[in-house]
Amino acid sequence: MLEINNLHKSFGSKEVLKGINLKVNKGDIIGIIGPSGCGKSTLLRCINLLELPSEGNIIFDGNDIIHEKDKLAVRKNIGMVFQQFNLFNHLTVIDNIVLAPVMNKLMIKKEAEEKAIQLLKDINLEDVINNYPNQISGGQKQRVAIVRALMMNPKIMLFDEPTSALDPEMIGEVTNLMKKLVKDGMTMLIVSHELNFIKNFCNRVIFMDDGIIVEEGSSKEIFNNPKDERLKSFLDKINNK
Amino acid sequence: MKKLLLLLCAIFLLTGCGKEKNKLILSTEAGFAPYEYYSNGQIVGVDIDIAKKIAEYLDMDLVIKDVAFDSIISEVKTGKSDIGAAGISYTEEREKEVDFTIDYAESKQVIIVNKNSGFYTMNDLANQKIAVQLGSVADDYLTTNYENISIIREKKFLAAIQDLKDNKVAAVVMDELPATKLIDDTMFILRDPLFTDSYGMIIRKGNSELLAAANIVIKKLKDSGEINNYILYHLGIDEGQNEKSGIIGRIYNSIIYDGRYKFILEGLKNTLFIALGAVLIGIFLGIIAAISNNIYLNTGKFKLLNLLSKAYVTIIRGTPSTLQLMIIYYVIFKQTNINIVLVGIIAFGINSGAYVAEIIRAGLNSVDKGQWEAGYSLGLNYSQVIRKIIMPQSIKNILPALGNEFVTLVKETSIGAYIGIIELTKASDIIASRTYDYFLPLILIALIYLIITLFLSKLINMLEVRLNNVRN
Repeated sequence: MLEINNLHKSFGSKEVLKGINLKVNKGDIIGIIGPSGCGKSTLLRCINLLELPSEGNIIFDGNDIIHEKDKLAVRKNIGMVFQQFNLFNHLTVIDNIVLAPVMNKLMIKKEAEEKAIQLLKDINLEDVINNYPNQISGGQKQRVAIVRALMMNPKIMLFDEPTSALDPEMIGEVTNLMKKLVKDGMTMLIVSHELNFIKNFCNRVIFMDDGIIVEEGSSKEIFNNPKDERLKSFLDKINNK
Repeated sequence: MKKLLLLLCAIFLLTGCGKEKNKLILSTEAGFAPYEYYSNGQIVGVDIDIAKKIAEYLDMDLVIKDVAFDSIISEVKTGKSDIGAAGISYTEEREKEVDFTIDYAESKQVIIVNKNSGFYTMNDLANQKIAVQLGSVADDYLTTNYENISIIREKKFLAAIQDLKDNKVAAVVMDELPATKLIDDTMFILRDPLFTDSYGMIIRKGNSELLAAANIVIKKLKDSGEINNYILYHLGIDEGQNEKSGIIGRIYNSIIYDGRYKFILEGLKNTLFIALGAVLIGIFLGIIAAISNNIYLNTGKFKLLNLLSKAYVTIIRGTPSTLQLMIIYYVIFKQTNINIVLVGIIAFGINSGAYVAEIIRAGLNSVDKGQWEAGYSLGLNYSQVIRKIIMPQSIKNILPALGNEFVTLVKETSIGAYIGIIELTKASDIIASRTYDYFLPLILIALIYLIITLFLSKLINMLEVRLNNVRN
């Protein structure tokens, strides 16, 4: 459903992505790992056009989205979850969730609220429906952010370090929600430093370094049988920490 | 926004009427007794009496404008006023700019010195400082004829007298009649006047009809001795302006006697009206400038509007507000006989808009970038993101700064006096010009400014607290 061909991205004179090729099939759970600054977050941000690629193309559902005029329509199909949650601080949980679908006329307000309440109930968040973001925990915030993205019925979800800003005891509640999405057949791209989580959760893993994909394979291949030296040393460093 | 526009339209309709045919507009600076001064809330004096006769002769209504002395020629030249009279002496320089009527009064320019100063003639004053009123005939005369003295040019001759009292200058040169009113027992007037000259009224070049009519009237009044009667009458009126002494007496003289509190009320009304109108215009312009800049930065659209906004903000912030006010009044509204309070609202509004634009720009920038990205990632467009996500969050950063701007604006209105708006500062000037006591009215209006700004600060505080409560 998603095909990335020879994707380049530069910020000024600094080239962050140096030719990425990647094919994502429906239902894929792809983990993207690699050292800081390797370009993994930039790759995600290019996919939903928060950054405009310098070169190459991204084919999503048969359309070249980089040259698509209506970026908004593209983004509606691609959900994004941020490290810092980015909940709208001035809105309650429920208003955070219903804002976009109502503004985009996907649903009327009542309909959106009913759906949101149902989704929040499913993950035991009905008590915080009318709370503001600064009144709930990090784990709750991230789950609300995921629900917020789901309201748009995206075809693919991008997770940019979804658990990095969380206290350890809250990581579980977020990953549990992500597991639920897998069951529903959601396609996901996950950038994370939680190698154990990636190892157990993803069916494909990509290792990036210095703007290119160095190694790609099943979770087992990457973690149990790494071939490239850079991947080996990366895994060693993390495991010895 | 629509309501704001409607309000502005209403103000225009109410105040911005076109030039009216049967009005004779006289410009003066009312602080020069007996020729023009305030009494019981009205501008009266010898010049006013003569101008009334001219208006009567022409079957017109006399309208009096009180402006700064050095603005009178511009007033007449630009046609904002038909006639100027403020004890204006003939000079060649002035005759190049405007036409003079025949003279109606002779004025002796005298030298005032402190007692026991040892100065008895002009020669004694060589290499000394002499204070004059800026742009007055004494200023002109000394500048042209005495290279060896340094001239201190004060906006008001009252300030010149104060300089002498404080020993900042050795002498003051001014017209004899007001001089006799102004000096106290520590000063005296030198026996020989420095020079004698005559006062005429000024009329725009080419307006020969008015000039002829004025000359006929003045000649008649002079020949019948009527003008001398006027002078004697106003000298009489001018007595006893400070009839009580002591601190209670001074307060009485400054506020109650002759209905002088009316100036303070009028000044307060205009100050508040201008500040309020200007803040509305300022917010309107500021939003346009800040948003056009934000749209351009985020979407690349509105390039031209963004450039214009930038130029606007740069020019306004880079030039003195007094200058802006004068340019708007004397250049932009040159030909229209527009209500000066409205000019004040427009000028201060345009001035404030540039600062408001910067406040809003900073407020928008203070919102975390992640908020934009979250909005965009949900498929919202620029206008939805800024309206629903960014604006509401920046308000609490913008509001305190906006409150400050309003407080500053209230104080800024004091420069409105330059174009003759009677705001609080001008009101205290007027009172001081009658009581010759600067201290009390200044303290009084300082207190009023303080009360207004304290009240505003309190109001803004309450608003902030409410905003915070809503959130938590």
